[in-house]
Amino acid sequence: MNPSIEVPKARLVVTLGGGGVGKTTLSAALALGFAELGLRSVVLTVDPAKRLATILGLESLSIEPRRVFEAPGGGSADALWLDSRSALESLVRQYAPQTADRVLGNRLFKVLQGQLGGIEEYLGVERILAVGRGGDFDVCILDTPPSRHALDFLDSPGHLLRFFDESVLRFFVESERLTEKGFFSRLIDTGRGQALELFRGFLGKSFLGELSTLLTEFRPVYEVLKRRAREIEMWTGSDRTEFLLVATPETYPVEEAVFLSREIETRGLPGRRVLALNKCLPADPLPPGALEAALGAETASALRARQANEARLRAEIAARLGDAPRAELARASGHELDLNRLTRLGRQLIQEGRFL
Amino acid sequence: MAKLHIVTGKGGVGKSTAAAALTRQLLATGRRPVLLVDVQGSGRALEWLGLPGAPFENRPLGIPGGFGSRILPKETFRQYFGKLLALGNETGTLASVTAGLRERVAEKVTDNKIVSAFIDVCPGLEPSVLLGKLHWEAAYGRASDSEPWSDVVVDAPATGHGLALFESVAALVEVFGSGLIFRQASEIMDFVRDPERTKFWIVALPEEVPVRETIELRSELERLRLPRPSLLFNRCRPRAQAQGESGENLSEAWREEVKFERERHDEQARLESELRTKLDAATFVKIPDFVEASAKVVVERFAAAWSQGGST
Repeated sequence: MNPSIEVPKARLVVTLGGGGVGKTTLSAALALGFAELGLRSVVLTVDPAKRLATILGLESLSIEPRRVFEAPGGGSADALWLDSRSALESLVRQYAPQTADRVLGNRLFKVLQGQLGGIEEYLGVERILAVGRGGDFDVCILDTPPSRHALDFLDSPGHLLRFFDESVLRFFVESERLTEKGFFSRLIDTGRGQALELFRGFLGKSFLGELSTLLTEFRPVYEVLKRRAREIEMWTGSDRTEFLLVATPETYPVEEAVFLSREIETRGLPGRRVLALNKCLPADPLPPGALEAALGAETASALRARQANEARLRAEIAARLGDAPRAELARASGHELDLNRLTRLGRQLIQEGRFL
Repeated sequence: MAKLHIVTGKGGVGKSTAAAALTRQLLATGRRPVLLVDVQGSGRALEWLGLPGAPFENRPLGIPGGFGSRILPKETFRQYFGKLLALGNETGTLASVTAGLRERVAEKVTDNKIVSAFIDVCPGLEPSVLLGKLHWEAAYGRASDSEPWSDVVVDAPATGHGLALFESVAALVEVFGSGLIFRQASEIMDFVRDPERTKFWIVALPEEVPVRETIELRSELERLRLPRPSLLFNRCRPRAQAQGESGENLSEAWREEVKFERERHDEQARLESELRTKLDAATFVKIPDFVEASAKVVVERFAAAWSQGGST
């Protein structure tokens, strides 16, 4: 086993869910809630909305943890934001300082950057691992971007790393090198030489040349990421990692949460699963006419229909997610958020989600 | 030549619902055949229109004249590769390659492992293939009865700002002139930049964050020189008509909701006027918030609301 493997002792909470359900807000709330209880927490978000940074009192995005809250009991909350556009670039600078300028200057780098599927999740988990290893935090919270594939980083180091494991990559790089040295004629009767000729017609000569340069110079970055991948696997595969599934009480977001929960199960991850049902209406019965008097018939009937739909979904969730702890957060409590309200949300989340 | 409709917006705004509703709506106005394409999704927009199983080949929807399919990079690559090979023969780009070799390589390319690795290592190839397929359907595609499409509706991927496909392909066109795929790419960009051929629909919600993102998306479209978009302002609430009562008979939790609902309506009005000035949308359609158990019903009502409010 590689001696440099080092897994953080901190707890990890991975927040998962569809778009627009409030993952980022609840992740921040959870960090504040933990701080209030005397723990040192840190939350990482990829491409957050500016508004949340403002609520937390952060002027700008930062790739290093910044203190956002200190509780009287010694607990604290830090936050860091990852900008998906510059994350790959800083990673290259960090892990391949010698060739960084050449890699970043490669015309294909820009194209590559815009395309890597799942790269944000991967870079997020890589960053939180680096932060967690420092030993400055008790709880790390990773807020993932909305995606069905949000869990991909768990069982593979991502799209990025598959490059070097595939024989076809070697095929490209080596073939290009040999061609440049004038060996191409010797290869012409081999399958490799023929296929290369076809790909060249397909992609253009300059493209293949630059691609092989980029991949060669990128290699040190891959090597580091590969090692990290093992550590990530060991962290997320332990019961120190928990999953916070966030959904609003609507059909599709609930389906998404159930899907993600199944994925966790399929992967055999031992971590606890908690469901946060966000933006719920009150479940208590409405006296006839009262809502109509306050809001008019049209709005009242929409809210009544919504309440009935939520009741139906609650039953469905109970049937499909079994006894996973469930926190229900009121829709109105997410309105006009400030640090106090956010902490209150976190407190409720920790209590109902049995995080302690 | 068909009209290409790109339905975009951040995750959770109702993009798939809007794409399904647009397909329905086009069919209802007599346009046909219409193709609905789910790009890198799970195929639920297709399912709502009566086509389960998320097929990769075009299949009839549950509505006459409607067809649908799902595209994923690797599946699509196999189909698209053959079409490009044929094109390469015509244009002579691949003239130096013998016919026998072409066949052997085409065979190789249908091998899963090679295709996977090839797509993985080639920056820009995946978006080129996806966008290329959409362009191909719009420009040359036909229904099974060999009638060319009147419209191709695209349920765009939710990742990033939804324009990553266009961004990568545009960057490729700028950087690389040669190579069959990239020569195709510049033809594709011409197609999607032409407002006569391609229409962008942004779906937004009446909430602060989605509206900010919509304004950003608008400037991204402009930066990529893509056409002026239309806006679908989804899940709009009716005007809360307060009758002076603040709900004395209601529980505290419900009184909070009442307050929240009233404030939200003011917020919606403010956001709507901001979008109307800043977005300069080609059309601006307001869609009410439907609370329905079944997505199918939501799609129906969405399409109906669209047909009534389409000119606003």
